[in-house]
Amino acid sequence: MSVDVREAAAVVVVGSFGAYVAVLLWDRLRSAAVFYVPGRRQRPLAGGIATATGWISAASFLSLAGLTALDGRLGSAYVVGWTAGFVLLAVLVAPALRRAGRHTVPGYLGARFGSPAVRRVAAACALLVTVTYLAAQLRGAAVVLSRLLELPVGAAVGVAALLVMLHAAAGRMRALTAGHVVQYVVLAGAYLVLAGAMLQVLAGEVLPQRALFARLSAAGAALLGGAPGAPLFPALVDRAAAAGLAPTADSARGVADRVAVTLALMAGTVGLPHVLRRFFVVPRRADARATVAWGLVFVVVLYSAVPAVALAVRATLVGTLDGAPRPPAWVQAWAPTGLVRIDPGVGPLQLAGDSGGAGRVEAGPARPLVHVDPDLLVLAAPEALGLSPWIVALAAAGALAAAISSAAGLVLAAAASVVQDLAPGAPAGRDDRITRRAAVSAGVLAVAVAAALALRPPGSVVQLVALAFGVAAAAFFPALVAGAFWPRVTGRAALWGMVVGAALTVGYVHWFRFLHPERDLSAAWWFGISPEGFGAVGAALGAAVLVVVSLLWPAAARPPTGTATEPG
Amino acid sequence: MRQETAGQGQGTARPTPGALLVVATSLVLGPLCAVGLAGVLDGGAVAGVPAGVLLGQLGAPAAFAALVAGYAAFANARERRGGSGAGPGRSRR
Repeated sequence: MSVDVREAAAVVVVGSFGAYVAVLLWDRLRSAAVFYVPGRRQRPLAGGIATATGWISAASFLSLAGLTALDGRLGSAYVVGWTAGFVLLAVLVAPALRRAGRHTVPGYLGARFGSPAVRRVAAACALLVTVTYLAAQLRGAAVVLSRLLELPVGAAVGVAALLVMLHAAAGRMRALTAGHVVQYVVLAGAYLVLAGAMLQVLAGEVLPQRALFARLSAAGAALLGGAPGAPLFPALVDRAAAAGLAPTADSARGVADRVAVTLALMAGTVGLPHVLRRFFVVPRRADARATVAWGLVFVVVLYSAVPAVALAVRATLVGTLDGAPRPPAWVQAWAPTGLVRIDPGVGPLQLAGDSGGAGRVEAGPARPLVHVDPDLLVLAAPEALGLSPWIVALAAAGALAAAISSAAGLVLAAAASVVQDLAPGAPAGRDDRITRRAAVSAGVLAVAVAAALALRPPGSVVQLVALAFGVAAAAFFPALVAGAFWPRVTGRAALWGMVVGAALTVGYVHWFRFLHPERDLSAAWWFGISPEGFGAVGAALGAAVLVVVSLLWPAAARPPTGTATEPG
Repeated sequence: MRQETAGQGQGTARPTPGALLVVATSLVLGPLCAVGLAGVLDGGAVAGVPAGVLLGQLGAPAAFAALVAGYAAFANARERRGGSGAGPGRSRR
């Protein structure tokens, strides 16, 4: 019996979600933890898996390989920034959060500086970061659902929002830790199987990490026009150049922007509220470090397959679209979603500039231009290569797991920010009916606002996530690091550092992405730094303000608080 | 302007040379990998293998994972031996 992609996806997605819900409900029966407070029996290995699952979002699963396929250098900045950020997290911040007696980043900062104003400003920044990040997850989930349900992507955003709310309501934070283990197995397994299956078609190789050494299979040679047995990568470079795509490692962005993006992602990793929450409840500094280390190991397992997926996606894009006499079946399958568009023209198809094409100018009538949303490439490529519907379904389930698991953690972080930090009066850990209702209302509101943003996102999923990282870097990195290591920093300095860093970054993003998108070009960016990378500038300026204010208006006296020495 | 009290809530820690070295390494290695190593590809593939992509996108994440794991193991072992206590010249009061 043959099944199509939608039937297979229905089985796999429903089955995987059934497994999550079963784990959540089973765990819930054993716990009386509060809705928005993590449990306290977390071991580093389980915590590392949960950290990795919360970390690997739709941006990593769906969008990163697509970005790398179209702009290899910028893709490198994302991979490196997101993994190097774990180093800063392990050394600078995570060990300092344990035993803080708080459950949120704003709560921690407010207590550290003894300032309700710091807490409220930090809560507003945390909400902004969380909602932006959540919008990216909703967009990613919507890309998957739009294909499976054959819905316009806008309607799919609504379905995704509903799924996220149900998932967050089904489990508390402790239960989510158990659910995260199941979700990690699904999403990492799906990604590795997807990468191996695509590589097997193109090069007869199944180990994704060997993709760059692989040689063309007969099918790969037919797709890219080379000879069987020839090295895969140079054949792809030649074919892509013939299709008008720039070399994989070429980037329209300058060195300054790629450095800024890398630093913003590194610093943003240290300031993500939904990631840091996990470290408030680890009992010892050693556990915090071990949790980060395990988390990065599990993240790298998936990231090590990104180049293989990117390579396969790029090969599929140029091999099936460029020069084709008519739209291939996968384009027709994705057409109802609105994520693929073909401009009218005469002759064979041509990739449009926003799909990576260089916009070749040719004599004669214009060819039909194909515009492909980069976020669908990872899901569309296996269909285009004719892989089994079960593998496509597994990829869809993995992408949904990535989006929904991250989104659920974000909803809980948003709820905690509102209930504990913006509306003081509900002590941390309290679990009465009013607090619970307030948390649910805050979560629903956060999802609604994020859904509105996801309907018209200012970029791809990975770019939207990068904007959230930028704001997190600018708002939290200086205050968290100075608060942990510099005794002279004052609450006033932390407050102004956060305000200046966050305001500059948000203003810059708003200017180029919402007010004047027509000017969002590298020539118009300040110092050639894109909105995704401006968080590094915001963090630097915020840190400068923090230092200056601390030195100009020093503290009156320092209480005799005990200190710890960071080993290493 | 009204003066305020610093250091409320919990105390600060003093980073050790080892921790500073790890942080500095990542701050240098990160941008270098993202810009420099990926740029090797500009010269084309080396023996059919894109060395820049290989190092930038496979090598760098593995290197950072090793750095974090190594740091965590070292710092935790030191803490177990009692080397992390508020010894002379290390604590702030």
